[in-house]
Amino acid sequence: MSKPSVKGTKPRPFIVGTSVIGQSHRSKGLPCQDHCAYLTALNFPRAKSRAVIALADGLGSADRSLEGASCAVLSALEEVRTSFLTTTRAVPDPRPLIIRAAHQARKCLDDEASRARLSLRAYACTLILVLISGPSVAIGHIGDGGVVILQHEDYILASAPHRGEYVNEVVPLTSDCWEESFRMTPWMGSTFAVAAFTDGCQGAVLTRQGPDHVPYVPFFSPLFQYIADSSSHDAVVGDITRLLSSPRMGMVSPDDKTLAVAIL
Amino acid sequence: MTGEGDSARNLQEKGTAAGSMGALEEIVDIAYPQQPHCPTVLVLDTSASMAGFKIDQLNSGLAIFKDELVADELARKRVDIAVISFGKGVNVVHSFSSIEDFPPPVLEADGFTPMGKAISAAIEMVEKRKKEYRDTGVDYYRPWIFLITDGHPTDMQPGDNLWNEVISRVHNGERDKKFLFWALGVDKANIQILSQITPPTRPPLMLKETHFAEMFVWLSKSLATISDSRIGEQITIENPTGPQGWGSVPT
Repeated sequence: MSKPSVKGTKPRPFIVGTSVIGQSHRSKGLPCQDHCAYLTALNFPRAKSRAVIALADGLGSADRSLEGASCAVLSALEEVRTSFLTTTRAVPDPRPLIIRAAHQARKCLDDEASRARLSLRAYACTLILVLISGPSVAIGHIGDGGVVILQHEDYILASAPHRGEYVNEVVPLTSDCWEESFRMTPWMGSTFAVAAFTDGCQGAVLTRQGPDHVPYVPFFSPLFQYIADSSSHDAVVGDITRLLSSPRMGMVSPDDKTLAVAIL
Repeated sequence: MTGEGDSARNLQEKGTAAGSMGALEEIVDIAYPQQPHCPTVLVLDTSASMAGFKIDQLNSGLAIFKDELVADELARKRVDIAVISFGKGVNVVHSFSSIEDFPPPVLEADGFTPMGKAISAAIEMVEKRKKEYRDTGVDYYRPWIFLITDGHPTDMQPGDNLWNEVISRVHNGERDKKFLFWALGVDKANIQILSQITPPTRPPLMLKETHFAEMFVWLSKSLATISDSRIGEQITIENPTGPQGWGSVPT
């Protein structure tokens, strides 16, 4: 698919996203430990083409990973809101803003752990931040999960899952050396759509070419077109919820799943 | 304006109609990747001293091990098992396969205890297996090598060439996270020698009496836990040396 054909006059960017609990968490009596939120600047007309998506995946056996994922997402969003969504100031390089938001997320985890007198590891989580400005996106990312963008006719894995030798090697935001593992991109223009997802979706939406992951186009092409054709935010969120909760997705991974999509 | 879930959604201008196409789940295709694999090599002493009750218990334990892993939905898909015996020579009794394709072997006790060569063979097997995973784009977990013996090596002794090579490979492999090396002593195992072979961070365990069944249940549960984990997580493996456990730490 090339650029999704767009019906109607809904505002851009049009963002939808949700998290669903995985079978393994349900069977263990654990809550969904993914967290996803997004903000647009529709209430700030001078910056209305801007938006931000944040998602975090709390590591399964970390006692407070749900709180960690929520705390990381909300504190990162707050930093971006004040510095990006409520201003028209040009941001030629998004990376200083992204790293500042990541530091805020980490600080929130430090503060929560300190307040609860718990180990920071109890709040272990990944973090993905996607900044949107008109047809451009920029990404900050630590841990697994990933971000796929559609530019012209190309589906590009713009931020890949962290790759250690072993599949379960994840450097969370709570790691002492998190900054070394935090990846960022500059603005990537001419983007028509972007999808960010956590580890639970990874196997369904990426395939392998040798050692490298590549986007699975039969997943993303109809997904982007469907969302571009839709006009109800809540209806599409329901559709994504049903997709992520479906037995097919459950066969790929028993983990919690988060998928957020923006049509730019 | 900070928000999440509904509050964040309220920031979006709501549309007027739901999507008119078929259900999203009906139109997207899913990649169905291969499951990540968790390679495990059992290195089993089948020397003559294992004859009788011990080898019978070991064989029964292997059948329990398979049953336990097959019953775990995720471990069944992810654990790859191989078995090396050492007694009358070093034999690859079973090359790597899924647990479903693992027929529990019926081992017979005979011969000496060529433990050094068996450990080397296990290390080579996991390295070869990891290369196969990489070449075919299969993700994998850190391999486990699990040694069970009731004696001491007869093909090497402290200070000789094979000893130095084996110790170096085990200790460096563990340190460099190439694999996890466990050693379990049974009955009259020479625990002092085993303590020198095992990585300093993971001393050998002794099997209480003949709790093979409990040990294999523990091993299968541990592998199931690992195969559903991420390294940043705080993985808790049941302590085998507790009051109800099958093992003890030799003193």
